Amino acid sequence: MSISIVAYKNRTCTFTVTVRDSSNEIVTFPSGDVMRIKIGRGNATPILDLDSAQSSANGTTVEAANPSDVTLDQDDADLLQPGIYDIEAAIVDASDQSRIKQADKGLITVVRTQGGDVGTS
Amino acid sequence: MIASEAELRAVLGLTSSISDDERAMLALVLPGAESAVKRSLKYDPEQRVHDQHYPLHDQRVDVDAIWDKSDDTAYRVTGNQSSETLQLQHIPIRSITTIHQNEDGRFGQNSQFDADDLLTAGTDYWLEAEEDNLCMSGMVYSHGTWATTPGSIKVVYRAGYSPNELRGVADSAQTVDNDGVITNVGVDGSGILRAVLLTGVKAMNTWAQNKKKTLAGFTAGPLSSEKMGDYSYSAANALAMSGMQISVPAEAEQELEPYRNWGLLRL
Repeated sequence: MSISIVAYKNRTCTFTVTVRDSSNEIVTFPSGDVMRIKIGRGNATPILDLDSAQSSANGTTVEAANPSDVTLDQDDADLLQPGIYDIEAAIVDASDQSRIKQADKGLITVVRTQGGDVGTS
Repeated sequence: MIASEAELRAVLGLTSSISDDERAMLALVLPGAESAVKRSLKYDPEQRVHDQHYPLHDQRVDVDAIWDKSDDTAYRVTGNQSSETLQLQHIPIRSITTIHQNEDGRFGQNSQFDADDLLTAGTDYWLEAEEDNLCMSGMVYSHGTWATTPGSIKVVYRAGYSPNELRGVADSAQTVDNDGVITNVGVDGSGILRAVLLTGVKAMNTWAQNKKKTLAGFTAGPLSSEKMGDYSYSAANALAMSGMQISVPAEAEQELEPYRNWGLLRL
């Protein structure tokens, strides 16, 4: 399995990330662990570096659970130009010196949208 | 990097699922595809700062040479190959940080290029710039003529395309991000990205033909037919296999044509 998500530039959206092990079983997510989501390209600094410990400056939230609901705020989605990005879901293991362990990688497609906001922002 | 793993996966149709074998091959193929494209271009299209010495080759001639001295060293100042333009390797040039010129520079190996050799931007030299922070040709003009002794000019400069320019989505105002990367509206380097993806697709398809098959094992060539009942297969001529080299296919070379630095012939 792999992560595959479609998001829309300058639009809030919610997607679910599920981390599975090599047997395709959903990995247990103990209390205290942190779910971390990175969106970017290659080994460059991620454009968005999100985690469940706190919401982003623009209000994006990551649920501390597995499966994890990610609500990508409109203003964070606006930082992504239309295109295809690497997305990485990783778990910070509180029981193992808070080491970050890559859980899964995939891709997120950001679709171009029309300009201007509709209704109230 | 020019192309991301996610982008190559998308063109290969590996969006929602990918096997461990495919992940392993992507890890080999993607940097190989980028290297092949950079070798074809003979410069690095990713935007970064370069620190180089010029000229690379001896452009001096003996006829009509003029001699001068620096301390105890005599050197030829000009021959009739001197020029008011200096061609840099990496394009497009986005900015010049510094240029030092010293006939005794020796590619920086004798601790020359000090403050006395620093040239002044706008006075001693200037870019052939179509707009701010964009010189597509890679040419730098001198107020006089450039030194012709190999390694006598040291140039520190930023050149190449930003990630958004490589994707043809540079539609916002000129920006300089936290890493100093410059984006100009309308600059389109997407042909280079497509060339990398085409090269990667070709390499992955070659691997898929050559890899061990689940039932047939290693075959003499790509499978041309396969049957399940009383399993049988036939393989194409072994000469159809092209091995594991990662080469830029013809359609990718066509994508790269508008991005050639024809001035490289002068280096």
